[in-house]
Amino acid sequence: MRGLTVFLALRNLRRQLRRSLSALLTIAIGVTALLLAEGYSAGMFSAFRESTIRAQYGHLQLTAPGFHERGRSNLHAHLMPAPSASLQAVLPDDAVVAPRYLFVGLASAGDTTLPFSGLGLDPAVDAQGGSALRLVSGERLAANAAEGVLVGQGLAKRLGVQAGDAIVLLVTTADEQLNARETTVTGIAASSSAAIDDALLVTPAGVARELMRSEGSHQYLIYLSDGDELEAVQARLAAVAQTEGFELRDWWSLADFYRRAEQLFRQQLTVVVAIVTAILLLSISNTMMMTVLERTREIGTVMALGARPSRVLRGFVLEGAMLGLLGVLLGITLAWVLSLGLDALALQMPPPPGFSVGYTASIELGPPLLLRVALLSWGATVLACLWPAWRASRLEIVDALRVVR
Amino acid sequence: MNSMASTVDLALRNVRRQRGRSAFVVGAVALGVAALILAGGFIKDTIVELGDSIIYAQTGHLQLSRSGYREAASFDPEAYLIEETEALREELEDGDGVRQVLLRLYTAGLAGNGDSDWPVIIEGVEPERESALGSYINIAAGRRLADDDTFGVLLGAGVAQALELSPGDWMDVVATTVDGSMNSLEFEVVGTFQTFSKDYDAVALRLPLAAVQELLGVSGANVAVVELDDTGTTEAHAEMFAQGFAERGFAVERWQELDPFYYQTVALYQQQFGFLIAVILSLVVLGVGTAMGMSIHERAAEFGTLRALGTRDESVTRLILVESVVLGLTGAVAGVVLGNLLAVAISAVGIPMPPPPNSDLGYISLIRLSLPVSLLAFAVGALAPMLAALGPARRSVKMPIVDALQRAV
Repeated sequence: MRGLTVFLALRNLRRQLRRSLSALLTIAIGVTALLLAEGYSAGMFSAFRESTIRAQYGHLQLTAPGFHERGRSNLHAHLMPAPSASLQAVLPDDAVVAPRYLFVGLASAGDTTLPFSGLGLDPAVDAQGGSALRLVSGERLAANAAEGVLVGQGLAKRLGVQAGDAIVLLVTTADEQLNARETTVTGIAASSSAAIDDALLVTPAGVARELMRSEGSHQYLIYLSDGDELEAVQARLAAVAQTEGFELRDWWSLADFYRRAEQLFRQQLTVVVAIVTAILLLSISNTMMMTVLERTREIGTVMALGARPSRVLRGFVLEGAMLGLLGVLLGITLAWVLSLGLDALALQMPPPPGFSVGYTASIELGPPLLLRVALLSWGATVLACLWPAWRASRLEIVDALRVVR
Repeated sequence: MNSMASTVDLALRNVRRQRGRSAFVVGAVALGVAALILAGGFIKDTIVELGDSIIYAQTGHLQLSRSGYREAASFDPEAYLIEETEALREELEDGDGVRQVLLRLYTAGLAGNGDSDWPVIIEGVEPERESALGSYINIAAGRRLADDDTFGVLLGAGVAQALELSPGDWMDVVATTVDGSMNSLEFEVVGTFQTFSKDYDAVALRLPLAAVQELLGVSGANVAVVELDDTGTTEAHAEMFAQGFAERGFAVERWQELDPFYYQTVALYQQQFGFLIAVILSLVVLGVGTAMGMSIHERAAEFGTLRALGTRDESVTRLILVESVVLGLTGAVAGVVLGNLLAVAISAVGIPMPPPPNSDLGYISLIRLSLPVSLLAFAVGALAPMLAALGPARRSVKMPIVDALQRAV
């Protein structure tokens, strides 16, 4: 009996090929649209996260305890020696540890002296601000540089220096002595914020340490080649880091501003995606409703021949379920092909706010997204069938037979 | 009766007769139009909210400064000083739609807590006027500056964190005076603030205008900030001021140009929302197309009969197209009404949004009614059925009459 109903439902779908096809198309394109809309946002958020991690935070950071809260007000007290070999052994082989040394002081060129906020780093392993820092003129620090300094655009303008010029850095060392040294401007760089550029200065960490007469670094940024490993690495690292006196933080807990901005943007997108979902569901039910209502006479005939209302109902719901399944599968395939197409295009998007480099558009179709969209659309199709199918099964046979079309 | 009028009459009768099919097409159109209005109105609200957060946190609507002040990126206050500030303020405030004019004096300096120093950008401001403008500035601790805080300072949250300062603490501010010597003054922290830009908060420091003038040994200001009654008149005011003040050596800048992120953020929104609008559009067209196509296809026998009775193909095509226009117009009107009603209803409830990055308070988003959005949605809805009908209409008149007549319904 059940087998027969399924069989009949399939035959009905085939017989009503045109109607089935247009319903199928509606479902499939709806599923594709929803997947593209959400997958595209997901792709964009991944790109933003990646830029934020690469440009600012690293995946993980090792610092002296309390550095993120109080460190900047007392830099000398928050220096840490490089992580030991046994700590580094816990990291994946291709992870990169990038030390950062922070210092403030006065920079002068000619008659002008201005305060700067300096960042000492290892040019060989550090992205030097990566995509957050755009080179305006000159060059970035070479991988093996022991000299040289990148100067923020605003600071360079006000000091009146260009790439190749000499600049004198004046600081107060850890033991309260004044210390100064001259170095060469290798390049002028701009971040996305004029406020930062007015004081920014990037040097090899060696220059900064020599100037400040101290060793170690304030932050050790850990870049992982595979961001998905973050939690596992963090778990392994936590105990070792603690015994060596480090505080271990992941980028997510540090990037408070980014996190909030992402949350807000997500919510804004959700509202629009909700509208997309609503219209998708309504257009699926519109089509299914039309499909059922136009077969009123056929339903009358089947019932005149003795089919029970429950069987009519079951038949329609089954048809809807199969149609929905096919539509969902077709939609997923379509979305997948389109996402491959977009990848092949390597479409460059404009830089997000706060970055100077754009990103490549991509559509991320993760299993949770696929499952959610599939269930939603399939459920909507079946639900959309229920009401007209129920109405069809309650028809007066005589009336149904007489419906003129 | 001429033929067009009779076609319209026939089309109207057909639409009424085919009640079920008409309802589906009208329904599909109305839903699509309403969805476009809702999405468009929400996006508009998001962008307006972004603009307000810039205008009322930092920039005001317009800023006047000495020509060359921005380009030089120079903090040499002497070269770009506006001396005749009160006359300028009176002249600007005289204009229609100008709420107030605020003066600011900028310089770079060092802030210190006794142990360590931090490079800052010092803003000399008029406290009460800034409070009236800065409804989007979030006070993280303490309070805003008041006019009688002669030596009070409001710190960017990042500066306060870096120097471990909280309301009630005293701090030094060092700056270079006009004659090149260093000058230092002590200030009491009255509060800390957050804006949309964390970078700005990490270096910004607000002092009373008079205190900064004393620190630098100058009088006057660098920038006159203009707050307008209505953001919509920004462009008109900008052009008016540019005309009147350009020859007197002033440059006028709009808030959009003053915020480094505005255009980038709007571009991001437009790109992302544009994609979603494209998705909605394609769903509307598809939904309407399906309903329309199915309806025409299933009436093959009817059109066959018309042609068997001698109606010319063009007349049948015209009939179908006029029908689709009637359906489109009906649906579009219903959609505009539905969309705007829903927008009002949703706005009455409000869409809760999480706090913007600079604040701990979420805000309530609305769906803004806008004529251009409604008109555009109306046009899409009114035209979609006709476009969708073109193909099926041609097919139904191409079909041999005998086949059409035999078509099972």
